[in-house]
Amino acid sequence: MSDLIRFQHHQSAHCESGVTSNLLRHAGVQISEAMSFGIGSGIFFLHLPWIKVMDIPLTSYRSFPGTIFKKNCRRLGIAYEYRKFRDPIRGARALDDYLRAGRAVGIQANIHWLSYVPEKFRFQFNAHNLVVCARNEDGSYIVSDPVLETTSICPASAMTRARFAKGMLAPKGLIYFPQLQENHTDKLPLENAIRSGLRETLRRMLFSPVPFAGVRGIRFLAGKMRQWPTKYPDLAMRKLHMANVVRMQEEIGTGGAGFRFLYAAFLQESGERLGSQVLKDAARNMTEAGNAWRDFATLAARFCKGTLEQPFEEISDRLLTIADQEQAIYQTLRRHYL
Amino acid sequence: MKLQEIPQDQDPAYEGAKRLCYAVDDQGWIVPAHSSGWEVEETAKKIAWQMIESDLARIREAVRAGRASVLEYFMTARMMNPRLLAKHMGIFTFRVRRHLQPRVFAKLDDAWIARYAACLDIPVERFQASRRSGNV
Repeated sequence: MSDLIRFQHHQSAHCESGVTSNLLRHAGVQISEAMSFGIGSGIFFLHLPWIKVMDIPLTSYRSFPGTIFKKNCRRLGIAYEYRKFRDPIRGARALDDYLRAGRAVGIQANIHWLSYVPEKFRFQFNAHNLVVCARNEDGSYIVSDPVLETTSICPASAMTRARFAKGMLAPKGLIYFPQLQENHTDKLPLENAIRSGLRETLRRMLFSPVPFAGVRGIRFLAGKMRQWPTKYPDLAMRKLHMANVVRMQEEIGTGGAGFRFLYAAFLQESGERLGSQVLKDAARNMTEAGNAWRDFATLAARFCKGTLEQPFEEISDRLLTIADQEQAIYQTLRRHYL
Repeated sequence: MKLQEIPQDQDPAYEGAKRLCYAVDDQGWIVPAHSSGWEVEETAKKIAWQMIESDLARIREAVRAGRASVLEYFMTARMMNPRLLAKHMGIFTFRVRRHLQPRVFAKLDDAWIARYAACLDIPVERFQASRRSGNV
């Protein structure tokens, strides 16, 4: 049964944009990971001190999980299927039906239960995305996990557990795929899609109505960080909080610098596509901002290692600089695209 | 970040795999490229794991001393808290909290143990053996 689908696996930096681009490419729409990330308005910043993930405030460099695929389809005018299930048995059966019909599908899963993922990455995180390509004779699944180099094998029990894990952002057995005929040749409104993606990002980063999101969110984190020494008198606690910010930026499938390099790639590709020097310049500046994020992470890691004594003023000043840097980029773009 | 500057720090947590990141090549194009790990990421990840491991070590001791239940150990090993475990079990959080108390846990019947074991994906025999010996 496994030769029914010849799914082309491309490794990507981020799971959601990777799955979106892999599924669309499988359907004959040539779209890179960076492109799908930008069209899906994947970049963001958010710091919510009162929402705890494993007892640590939530910091995020990305938009809300699960939105990239839908936004891509909507902005490109592609019909799509998006199904959730209440009953694990019916959900598993639906997955098998799609696979039997020769269709590769995207799913949302809890990464903790995916046994093929290296152990140290298996946290309780419900919004991991991957493509299921086919089912083997022995019941296991062939999956294309976009953050890994090759396709992997996932046992059926792990699959069901991962798809029906509970908690924050529970996947509820989500199955999704674009409904396109293979070798689809219609011209897609790519340029409009780029503009829509860009506009939403600009609006969200520049004009957040709340202080904890967008560029304001970066400044908000800088302010909160200044309070950490008094708020968390325990050094281990402070290190844990700092490490979490760095992890969200570098570890969790971000392509480096909290998605900023990935977004720069989108800006550059769009600049070529639209023949816009403004976008190309923005790509260069976004790379610079990414470098600044990496310097920030290096400093934070030095604190975590204990080779830097009282870094909070210095580190939060860095964040403020980055916020200014990003704001300048978005404001230039805004003059041309909003 | 230039292509040549991509860190290749051989993070053991990658288990030999490489991850994709984006960097600038000689012509100024931003292209995907492989990295075998970055020390900064490794440090941050280590801190998170040290926390989990020290929690587990503390609970393991408490289980031995009879101050915590085996259930608490297995729950923590799955990186769950009572609320999340309760959601998976389909029962109220306060019941899980109650079951976590060593005295209540000792009185749970085999059916409960089987349910918890299935929920946490731990072999029932191992669960029962740990429960009897008080060792995890």
